[in-house]
Amino acid sequence: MAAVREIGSSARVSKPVVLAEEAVERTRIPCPKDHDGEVLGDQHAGELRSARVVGNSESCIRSPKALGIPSTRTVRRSALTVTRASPMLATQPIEGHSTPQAIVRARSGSGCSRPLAGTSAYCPVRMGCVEPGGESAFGSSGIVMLDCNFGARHVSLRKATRVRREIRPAKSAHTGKSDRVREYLIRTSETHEWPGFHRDQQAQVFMPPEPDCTEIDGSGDFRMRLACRRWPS
Amino acid sequence: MSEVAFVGEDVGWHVVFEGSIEDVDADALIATLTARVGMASGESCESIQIISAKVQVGAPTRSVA
Repeated sequence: MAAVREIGSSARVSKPVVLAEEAVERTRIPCPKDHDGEVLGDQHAGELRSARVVGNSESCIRSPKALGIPSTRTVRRSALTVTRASPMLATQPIEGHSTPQAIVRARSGSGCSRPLAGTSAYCPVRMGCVEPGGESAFGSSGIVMLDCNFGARHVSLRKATRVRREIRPAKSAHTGKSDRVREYLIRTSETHEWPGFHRDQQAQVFMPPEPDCTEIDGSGDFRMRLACRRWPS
Repeated sequence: MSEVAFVGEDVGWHVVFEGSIEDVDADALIATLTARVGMASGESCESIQIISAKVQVGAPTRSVA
């Protein structure tokens, strides 16, 4: 098993490696939300599907909507999903950040023994293949981004996970249940990607037909207050 | 009273239950949500629970659209 070097608390988020992915164009545009950085996004056919803010003081993942960028999310991105625990992950809170963040770093040349190809490729515990100096940051959304190097090919790994107790406390380590937050990921079964549908359908899909359940403003692409205990099937 | 937030990410819909989740059958809601998302997207979908402290995710539960 590959070792992981935990970084010190004084470490800062540096600008991540710009990836060269197939059928994906990276673009840099000024950050419209003044995140002390610029938006590094995936653009294809003139549509910005996803974006993240990079800079010295903040590195986070934001949806185009959160950034005020219109997007139809029609382009599939060749991102890989890691769905298992990785003991090689090392997390450390970033000093000076009020919001929960962490950076992940691992040594190179450890465990990355087979090439990955295609959007449904599965990389269980290959976190050790992050390039030296390659860093990843994730915020409260719980999506980890790792810039990995498989031979001559760069790919971006995104891992849906949570950080450790000191960053996002959990009530029970055994069950993973928290008295405040419980999180899930709904994805496509085959490709482990975002199952897309038109934004106008969000309320119809997400909200139950109950009078006490209402759409509310707040973080996220869609948010509702759930008064009913049972969801009608 | 609880709130549910949906965040679209490349890896899927990140669904977060906040508040008094003990009063909500979250697993049942997610199962129904998964089926609904599958129907809306036209693709077979599955849901996984994101577990905090152990840095791992739960076993997938599949739902065929």
